[in-house]
Amino acid sequence: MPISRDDVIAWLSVYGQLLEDHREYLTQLDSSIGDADHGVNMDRGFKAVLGKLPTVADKDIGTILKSVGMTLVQTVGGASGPLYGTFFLQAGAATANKMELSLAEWASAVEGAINGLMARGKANIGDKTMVDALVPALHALKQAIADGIDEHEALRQSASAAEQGMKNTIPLVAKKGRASYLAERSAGHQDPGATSSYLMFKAMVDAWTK
Amino acid sequence: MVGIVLVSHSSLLAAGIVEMARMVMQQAPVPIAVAAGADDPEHPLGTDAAKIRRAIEEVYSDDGVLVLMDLGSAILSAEMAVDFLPEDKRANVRLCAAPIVEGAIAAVVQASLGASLDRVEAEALGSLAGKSESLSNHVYAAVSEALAPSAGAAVRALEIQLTVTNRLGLHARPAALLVQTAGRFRSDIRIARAGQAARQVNAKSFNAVASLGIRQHEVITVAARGPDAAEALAALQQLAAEKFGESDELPEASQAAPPVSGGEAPAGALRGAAASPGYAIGPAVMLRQVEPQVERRPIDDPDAEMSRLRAALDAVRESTRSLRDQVARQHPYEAAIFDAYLMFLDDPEVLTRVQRMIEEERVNAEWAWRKTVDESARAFEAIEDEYMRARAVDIRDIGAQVLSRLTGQTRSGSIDQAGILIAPDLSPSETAYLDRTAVLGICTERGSPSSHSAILARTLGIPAVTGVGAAIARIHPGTTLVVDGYEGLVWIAPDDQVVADYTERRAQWQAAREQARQSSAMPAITKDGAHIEVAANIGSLADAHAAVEHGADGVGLLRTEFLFLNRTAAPDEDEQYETYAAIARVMEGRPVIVRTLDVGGDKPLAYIPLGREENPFLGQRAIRLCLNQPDLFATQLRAILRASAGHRLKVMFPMIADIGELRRARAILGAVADGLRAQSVPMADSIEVGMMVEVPSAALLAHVFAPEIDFFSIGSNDLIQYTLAAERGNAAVVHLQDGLHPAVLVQIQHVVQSAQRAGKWVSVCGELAADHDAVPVLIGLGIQKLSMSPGAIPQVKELIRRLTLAEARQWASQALTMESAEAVRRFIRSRQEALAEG
Repeated sequence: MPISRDDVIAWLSVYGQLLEDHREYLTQLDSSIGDADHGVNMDRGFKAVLGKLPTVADKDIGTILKSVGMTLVQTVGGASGPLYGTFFLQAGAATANKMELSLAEWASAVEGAINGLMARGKANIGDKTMVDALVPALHALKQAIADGIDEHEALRQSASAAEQGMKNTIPLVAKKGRASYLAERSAGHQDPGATSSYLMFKAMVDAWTK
Repeated sequence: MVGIVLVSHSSLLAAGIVEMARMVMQQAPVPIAVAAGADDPEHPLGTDAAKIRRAIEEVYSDDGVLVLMDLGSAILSAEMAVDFLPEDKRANVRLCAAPIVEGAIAAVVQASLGASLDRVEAEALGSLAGKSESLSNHVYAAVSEALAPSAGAAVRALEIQLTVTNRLGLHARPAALLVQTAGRFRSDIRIARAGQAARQVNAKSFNAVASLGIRQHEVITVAARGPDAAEALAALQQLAAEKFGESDELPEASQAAPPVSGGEAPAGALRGAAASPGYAIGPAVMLRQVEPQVERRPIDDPDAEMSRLRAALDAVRESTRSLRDQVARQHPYEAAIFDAYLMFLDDPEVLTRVQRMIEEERVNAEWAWRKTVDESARAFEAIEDEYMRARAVDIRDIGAQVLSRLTGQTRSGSIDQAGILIAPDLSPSETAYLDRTAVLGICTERGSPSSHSAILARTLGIPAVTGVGAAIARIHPGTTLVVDGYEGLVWIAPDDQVVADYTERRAQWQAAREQARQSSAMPAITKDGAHIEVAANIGSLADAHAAVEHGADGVGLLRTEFLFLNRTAAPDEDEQYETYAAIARVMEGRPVIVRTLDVGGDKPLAYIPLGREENPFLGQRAIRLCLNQPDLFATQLRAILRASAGHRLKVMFPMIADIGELRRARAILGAVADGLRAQSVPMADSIEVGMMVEVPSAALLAHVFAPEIDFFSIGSNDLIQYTLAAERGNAAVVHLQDGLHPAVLVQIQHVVQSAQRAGKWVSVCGELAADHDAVPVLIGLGIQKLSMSPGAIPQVKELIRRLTLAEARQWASQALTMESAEAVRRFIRSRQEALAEG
């Protein structure tokens, strides 16, 4: 299953739609432990991304992803701006001049992106952040590819690992970001960043397996 | 110079920090760039890495850039912005962990001193020390200690003591100026609270200086060690004399607030804060205050509500202005209190909030106004600063006045009989309206010695004790009270012994006050009988009242610029005539020297086009401009001559550099006088004409000018500036701006000698005239008249009364032979000390 430039655009569009659909939900999660702007910020960022896509839709995958990264950096406003921005810029760097990717190449680009994001946020697994959804999703994807599993199934496993990771953030105590100010009181709430990260993997399933 | 970048979620926050930073950045402008806020008006909070990168590029130089940020995404975005920079620039950009407000102020001060990026960063990182110290958390003390350079113990330190007279103490701006001045010298400079040498801090560290928390009236010891120690101390001394750059701040009420006395109150008395000195005895009387009742009403027509509010605001603005002018007649400085009211009435932010509430919630103007006023006042009440909290009272006061206009309900009551006024608190307008003959003393439940009403009570001379507390409720109207405004005591129904004691004290207090008032009006005569005229420099009608109040023998310099600046057309002849005549009337027969218009490229007039000048202080200004604008000049001269009828006015031309200028000016004056005479317009039979000596050419050729004028007036500020080529207001050359420099004294001597030979007199009308070290030298050189800001007059008169002319002459002739201003100052001080001891 090669992933084409148009597939990437389709994925971004689906992710944008999911963010719009979940805007209130993300904001509500954020209002419990953060500053109640995650849904609004991500939706605004991706609206800008989708508005800009037509201008780069004829470019290579790397250029498209870099453009997404720069747009997010300038429009999201909150911490997710530089974090997702870094994610997409790194992914773009790994896919420069590519018009098509194998799933393994995609997984490797995602891996570079997650590493960049972790370096930027200085967060680790268990800190109650997006990393808690992203890292399990990446591991599941790589494992599935290594196991030679059907590629659609691999994407589904990856997304469900992200979902599990997202749910696992509920009992955790936040170590990073605004939520960390709440210390023990942040436990019992699902992390909004992990939630939007899960949606990113869900968008791959929705865009590429149907 | 190191550039500073501020990264914040909020553009308002960043703008506020920039505003604060500009205050501490005196001369050398530090490049500051801001990357703050998101571009979404619905959600204006946010950070943007691309914007931050642009901000860094904007202020980038190889000296480096320090980036300060607030929190969360600001940090991530800033890190990302650095990644966006070209490789070679990254090493010169430092992301600083300091708290953004404190860090920015500290960094800007250091950067403006030309410090390295390392130093700027270290200072920013230590910037919490001051706050931490004053909140008794010593975690950061170690940081500021680490910042202090090691002292060269082998060299003996020179020491001076300085009194801080700034009303708010060594707060941000004066502290910054002190640090900047200290920073110019190579010597190690330490300052400490007098008597607390163990807690010396580095005078070149803003954090360290600010952490001392020096308040008004405190004395600091400055110790300097190193090659330029003496110069450094002289510069700092000069700075202190200039109130650390705040010499334009409101002078204190003529009698300073005595400190709050501690300890238990004696039996039968309540203790509060001593807010206004003096003693009063009388029955307790109440001020009835009725706050307007306000109900929330739904409305249909927001525009109608807004126009009702605007009408009320206009009315209150008008009455506040008139009250202001009324107070200004006696107490020009305290009148400024009302400017704070006017500012609140005109605050666009407040008006917008009220308007929004009226429009969005559809409520009546009264309700919206009261809610907004409450919010503003509460914001001030929440500030941990007594002075700021006192402003909350002002806001509530002006707010209530607008409300009573809106509701038509009258607010404050009056008192029925003479006595001691008892009130929860007094607003400044209530205090100002008090009947001075009926209110013998004031006792309030709340309030502090720094509230405006306490300041007003001091100027009105009403003894007051504030902040007595809830116990005030125990006082029944009619109960005999004694107010002790020195100790902060209020005696309730005191026994005969206490009453007799305070009756005696009150009599003494009143006698002493009368004597002080009279003595400032008495002439200043040296011990050996020389009469020195001490006059005032004024720039408005209100100043003229202040001049009389402070015992001025006349006006030595009436700056007429106030009539001409900040308007779109020149004042006409009648307006000028009315003003000059009004000032002359206030001066009640004392002489008034009117200086003709002194403006130029630095003070441009909208209605006189002037080309841009590279250096306005050396350009077309003062008499040079007037000679090129003969209509403007002739109009002013006509107004002055008309006002001279029945008054002792003299005319003085500023900035004469060449005899040709003087002659042309005199010719125009002569023509104007002839014209008036031809029309039989009344004016004085003869009017003295003088010139300012501000330009060295005029001083050096005083013998050429002397036969053609009636008097010289030495404008020391400009004469120093032009003699030493050191611009006034440029802190970097402040050490050169000392009028006791022998180069200046020699010129003054020549002016005086030239005048004496021609039978003319000389006055000095710059700041030098009020400099206590300079006064004996000037008198000794033969100056007959000193003119200064009104507040300085009583003390200078006192000083003159302690001197003898014979000694002053000796000191002056020795000063003339010395090599530097510093040497002269040291010499004069040693003489004055010897005089005081002997």
